[in-house]
Amino acid sequence: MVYFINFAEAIVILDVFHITFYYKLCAYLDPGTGSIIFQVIIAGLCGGLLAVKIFWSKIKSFFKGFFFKGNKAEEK
Amino acid sequence: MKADGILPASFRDPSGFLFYRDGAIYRQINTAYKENYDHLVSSRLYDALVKAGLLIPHEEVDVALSQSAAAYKVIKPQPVTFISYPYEWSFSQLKMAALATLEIQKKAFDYGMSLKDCSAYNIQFMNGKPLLIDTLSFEKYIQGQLWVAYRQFCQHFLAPLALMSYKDIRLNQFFRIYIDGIPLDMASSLLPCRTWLKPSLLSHIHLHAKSQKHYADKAAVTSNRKMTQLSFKGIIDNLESAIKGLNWHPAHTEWADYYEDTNYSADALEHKKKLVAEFIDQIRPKSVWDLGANDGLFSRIASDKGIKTISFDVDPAAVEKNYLKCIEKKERNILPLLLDLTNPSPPIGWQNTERLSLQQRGPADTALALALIHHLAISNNLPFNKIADFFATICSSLIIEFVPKNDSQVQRLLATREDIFPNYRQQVFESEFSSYFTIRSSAKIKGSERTLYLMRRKGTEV
Repeated sequence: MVYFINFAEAIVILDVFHITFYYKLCAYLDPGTGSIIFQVIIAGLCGGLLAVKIFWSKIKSFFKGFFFKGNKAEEK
Repeated sequence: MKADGILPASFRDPSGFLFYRDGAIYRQINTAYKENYDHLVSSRLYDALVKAGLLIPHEEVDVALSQSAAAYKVIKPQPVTFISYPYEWSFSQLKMAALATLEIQKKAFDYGMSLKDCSAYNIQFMNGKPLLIDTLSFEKYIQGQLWVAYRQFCQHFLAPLALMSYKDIRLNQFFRIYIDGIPLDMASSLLPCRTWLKPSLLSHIHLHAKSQKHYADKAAVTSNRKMTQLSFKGIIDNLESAIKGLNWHPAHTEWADYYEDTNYSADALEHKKKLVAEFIDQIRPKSVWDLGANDGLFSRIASDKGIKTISFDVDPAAVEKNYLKCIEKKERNILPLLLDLTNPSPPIGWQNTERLSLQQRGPADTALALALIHHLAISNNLPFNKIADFFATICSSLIIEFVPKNDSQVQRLLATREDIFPNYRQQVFESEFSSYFTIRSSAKIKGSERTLYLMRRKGTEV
């Protein structure tokens, strides 16, 4: 369990602080100034939500696996 | 056969373009796109997407076929049976196209690439499934980059689906006016207030529109903006949830329950099916357009024989039902599309050449016009000669049903209006259509007053 919390916390923190890389937009379409800035604003939130989702699915699969193993053992 | 040369719609992307040569379609890949194309192939993303049925397969051909010195390679994509446009799709078709686009983006990310555009026009339906037809839509993902196609995805998929779901199913017709998708400020103003309570619509449409408006006349530096991989994936995941959360359930409409609400006896319906099947067997067409197809009952007589069939109807509910049936039965030969025959899809875009009209995408080998003539002649006041003239431009063979004035369906149309149609008679119908077609066969439909005709356009008789 400790492992899961650390994992989720780590990616949320990494995301919120936005590890910076030099990147120049080069697209044949105009991505739109307002769209680009808005995307940056919601990026952290969306990333955080995804991290929670991944974390939650890991918890679910952990307990599924736990009970599944339990059932198997009972069957034996 | 299509004329040789570059397609008029293929001008936006400097990565390459489509062209016709000797009736076949090719795509030139320019040297400027070399690195991205090589990565698409060498990373095996191309293989993965083709295997998943999400990207059009192609073969590399002799570069000598190229149209300019900028060519790096020339590829020959598998031809698309019929090019359709988002304003001709039902709700579920647009939704499936949106989800396919996001699935492609997710897969691309796994292989170190990303979509650089998200046009709904890049998605086409082949063998019953949506797939990407623009092989040059990928670019190598650079750490920190933003999703350049975000605005386009919201305008081409999220906004129209939200409007169709929350406001009115007919609002996808805005695509005919706005070539680059629905403007977000307009979508935001049209959507009901309760959509402000939906976090995904609040952010990707309402606040996104506000941001666009705020920065519309401001020079802001965007080149140093960046986001992490997780944020990138988070936006895609959030958009996917938003699209999945949009639904539309066809209510009872004029046509959706047509076959349960008609004066046909079961025997008459069976006899009509048998006659249509016999006529189709006589002409053995390669393609069929069923006009006024409702939910595709008669279209399936052709498509079940392996004939590529386009099943057109004016009613969004009927088209939706038809498409859901295609998905349920995993049908490969039928494509339901929305079409108002009295105002068919026009050519639109730059110089009216980017998106083709219905007629430019024809002709079909055979057109079916079953229980349609009275709607055109009486509801739309069209004289028979104009109807015959139109059919002569879209097909070589015509299977058409004449519905006489004493039929209850015609009487229903005349119930609320004056009968100003003295020429709506079978004899006049035959005479006017004979100017454009040769009547090859005709048969009375048992248990009704209706007659089914098989006609061949003059000049195409075998």
